[in-house]
Amino acid sequence: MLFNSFQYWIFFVIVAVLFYSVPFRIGKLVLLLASYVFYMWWDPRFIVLILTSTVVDYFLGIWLEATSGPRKKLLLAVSLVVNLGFLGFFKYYDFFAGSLAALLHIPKSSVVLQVVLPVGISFYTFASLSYTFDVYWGKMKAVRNPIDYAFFIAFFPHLIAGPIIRARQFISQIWSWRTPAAIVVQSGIILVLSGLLKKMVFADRFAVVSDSYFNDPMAHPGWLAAWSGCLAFFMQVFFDFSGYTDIARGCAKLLGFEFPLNFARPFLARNPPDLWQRWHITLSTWVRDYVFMPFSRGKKGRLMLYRNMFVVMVLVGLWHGANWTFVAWGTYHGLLLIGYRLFDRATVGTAIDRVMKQRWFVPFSIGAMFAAFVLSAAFFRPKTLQTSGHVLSALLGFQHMTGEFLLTTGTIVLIFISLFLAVAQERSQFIDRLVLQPARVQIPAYVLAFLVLELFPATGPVPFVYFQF
Amino acid sequence: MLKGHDALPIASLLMRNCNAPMTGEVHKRFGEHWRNWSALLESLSVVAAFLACVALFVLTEPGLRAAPQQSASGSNSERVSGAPRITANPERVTVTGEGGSTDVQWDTGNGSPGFVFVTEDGRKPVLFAKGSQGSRSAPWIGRNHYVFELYGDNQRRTLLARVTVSGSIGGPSSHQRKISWQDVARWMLIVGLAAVSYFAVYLSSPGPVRTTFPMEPTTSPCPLHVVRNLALSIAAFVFLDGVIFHSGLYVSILAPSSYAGRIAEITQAEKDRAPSGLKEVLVLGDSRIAEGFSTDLANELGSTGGLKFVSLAEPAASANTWYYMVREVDPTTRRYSAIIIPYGVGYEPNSADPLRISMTAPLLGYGDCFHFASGFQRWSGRFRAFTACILRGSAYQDDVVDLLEHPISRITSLHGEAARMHSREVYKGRDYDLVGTSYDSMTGHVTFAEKLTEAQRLAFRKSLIQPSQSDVEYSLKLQREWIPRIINRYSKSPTSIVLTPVPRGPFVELSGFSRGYVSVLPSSVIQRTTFSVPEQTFDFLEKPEYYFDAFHLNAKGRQRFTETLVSQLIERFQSADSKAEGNIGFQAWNQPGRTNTANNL
Repeated sequence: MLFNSFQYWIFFVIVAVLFYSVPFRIGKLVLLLASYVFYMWWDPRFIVLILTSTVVDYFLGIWLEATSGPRKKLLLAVSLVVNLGFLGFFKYYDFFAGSLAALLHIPKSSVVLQVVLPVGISFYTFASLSYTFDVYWGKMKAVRNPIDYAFFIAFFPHLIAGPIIRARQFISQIWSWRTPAAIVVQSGIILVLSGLLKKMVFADRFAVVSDSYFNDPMAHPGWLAAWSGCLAFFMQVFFDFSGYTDIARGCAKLLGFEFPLNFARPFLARNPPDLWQRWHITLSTWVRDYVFMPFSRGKKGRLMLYRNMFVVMVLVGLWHGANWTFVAWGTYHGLLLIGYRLFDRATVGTAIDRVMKQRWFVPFSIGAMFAAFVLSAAFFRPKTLQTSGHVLSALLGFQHMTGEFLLTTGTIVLIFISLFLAVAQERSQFIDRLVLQPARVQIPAYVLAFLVLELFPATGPVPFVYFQF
Repeated sequence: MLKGHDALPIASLLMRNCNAPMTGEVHKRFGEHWRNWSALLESLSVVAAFLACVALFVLTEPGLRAAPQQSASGSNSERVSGAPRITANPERVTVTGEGGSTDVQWDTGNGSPGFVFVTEDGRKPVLFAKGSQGSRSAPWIGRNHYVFELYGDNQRRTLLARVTVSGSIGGPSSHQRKISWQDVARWMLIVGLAAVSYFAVYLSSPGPVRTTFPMEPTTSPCPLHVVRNLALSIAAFVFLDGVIFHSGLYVSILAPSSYAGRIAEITQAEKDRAPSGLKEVLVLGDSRIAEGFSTDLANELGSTGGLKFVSLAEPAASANTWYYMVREVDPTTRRYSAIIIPYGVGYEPNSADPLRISMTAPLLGYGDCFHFASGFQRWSGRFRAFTACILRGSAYQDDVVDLLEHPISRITSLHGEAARMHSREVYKGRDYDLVGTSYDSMTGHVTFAEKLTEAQRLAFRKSLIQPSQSDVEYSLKLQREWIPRIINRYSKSPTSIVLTPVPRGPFVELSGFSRGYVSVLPSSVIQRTTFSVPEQTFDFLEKPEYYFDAFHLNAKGRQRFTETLVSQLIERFQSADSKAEGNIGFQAWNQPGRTNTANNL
């Protein structure tokens, strides 16, 4: 059931009507059951995983709260083993077993199990882990109502591809739920429309260009083809994922819940740290709070900081998929972060630093960061490191030819429209302000959105890119 | 939850602003910009600059395009055939001591024969080349003007397209000057886009790096009207869609080479055609009839009986499209003396649903939603069809994108309806056959006759589709559901409905031979028509000599099929005349109020 399918909206309307027609304590049960139905629509077998993870962490949370000392650590370890065990087995077993087999020259087929990846496992595992960590650290109390906890894990708008929500943000919303105000509903509708536009009009059109390049990069030699293919790919990924997030956030708002922001104009980032403040915010803050900070606590020295930074980025890469290309992608971003830190340290107080802080120079910083990010598509999209190498050599001009310019007129226009919208949103929350605008502004904006959705979607419902993660 | 609106009139509600003070971080930011018109002006300047660049891009697009553009091809507005064209490259030739050279390319657009004549400075035209399409070099261009004209016949009666080539001496030619102008435009465009991008990004970054990003507002200082605004927006959207797409406004600019554009064009032309005063016979069908039936020949043969044939057969048109075409061109059900409907084993893949919807869309109204949607096999197809009836724009998605990407070429292509209609009329069919070619259905191996060109072989291979059982069943379902609807429509009309089988293909191994005709349409349907051409009538045509691919008759087959069908028609009606003593039959055609009944012949 894709968010951009008619089927989903029928489902959503039925669920919303049922939810609002009963008291909230029954309504959340309705939402929980609907979430399980939604999940089983993909593959009913994997409901067992989500139920197991829910039951284990629910009881562990209560025990963690009541325990102290080494036993508490043991309980946390059990939670980590169960959650990461599922994730590791279903997502990474084939990858590591296959890699080991290659290293030991054992036939890959003898160790690989062809495990099917359960949809959304990376997202709900992280959500679940955030709960046990927070209870362990005493940042929140254990949830006593199993329905509340199960609902937090399985709530369908975030279940498949995030945003990664935290228990302490969400559980309190369950406890203090009230019928959403008109402005929240309005905001939800605008988010849903914006998400559908991002996905169906922008992402799916960029997908045509990026697929034409990445399906066979050898057939499109030259730097121009590579840059246009990589640019189209990252535009696709951004609009796809942020469109999904917008729809998820919009649906949650329509049901009276608030999800955190996941994207904030990432292509306007000026440097690598700024990028990770804007791109997949819920993942980067999750790894910051639950991986980077605990590992860095009490450890001094820049070398340690850089090491931790690097390891975290490699893990972020690996989180995206079980493939060496994702490890390379994480490594690239880790090196980019460290490189920027070193550069920043080396130039602080110098003329370079002063120039870089000038407003006129900012667009160049943004351009450079954007180019560095687009370059990372060479690792993100190809299936093998060999193909990554080919794309990278094309991007860096080692093929000594120009090649085709793959972007179409339509996609160029879309790039400039998105640039304008991003600038307007960055400056003045242009889109968020629509909620408070009078009807004379709102109605034409809605009509325009409907017309664009009617006339310009790419053909057929295309699955969201992040479902595979 | 959602506040209802107060008693103010709608107009004043729509104009009212929500200008009370706000609180919180988000509200503070809003407050800063709420009446900050300078921010809006800055944004508008970006939009203006952006639009200027887009305009520049569109104007220079043909020269700047480096890669094939994403267009309607391969989608539901895929081209079936283009308008006739002839081009020369270069058109302005630099003449050196031994003369200059240009390459001439031509295409009649629909596979009909073409004759290229060249006229040098008003002298007598000389045949330069012939063929439905091709290219040829003219290395003898001197300091003169040469007019290359593409005709549909060798008597130069039907001019399809023309291009003029001029030769001049030395120096950089104006063609080269044109290239350099495009180079300048390209660089101007790149610089312009870079400047706009810089300006836009500059505007976005007034302060230091941000670390927080505000969420959407959660409180409003004044009542909001969510349901009212949404309902009004939906109503306005449906109204706007109706004005643009239901009114005929957009249909008039549909790409004439798209399926939808062709259906719209030929249906409109037939609707506008004045009555001939003869007994008019309408022929429906898909590409098999479009290739296999010649109206020119049929009119010649039927002239003795006072018959005029009109064909609305179009590639990819299926029985549901025929129904709406007939309804469009004959609203009173009394225009035609007879309507010929073909039937037989075919295939209709579910994946072609968008195409079927798109090509039928110009003929649909709001009232057709359930009727039209019910004809589709899958729910997704039904939903799409239903939506296309209400929101017609959804059926023209690819066409709209194509229009926006290539506005100039669209405007150019809209002229030339007469030439397109004429080339349709004079089309004689493909002039090659499959004699000497064999096909093994078990291995899929094809042995081609040596005489076939590579393009002809490719066309044959493409036509060797092994449709799935469901594709075949879908085709049968469409025929079984929609042909009776056409028959029902004419049940109280003097128009005779004639069913005709279509020849199945050149080789018995092909899928078209998998079923008998009886299994296509039940006898109850056949009995309700005025008469049905016997099933074996065209068996003699099912040979390689009458086909150019696995489905379509060639010029020779076209001639034989037309002759046989028309003679069957005349014979049957004459026989009916003599038996029915003028009650019902050939001479009784067009008698108002006559009711058509089953087996009345």
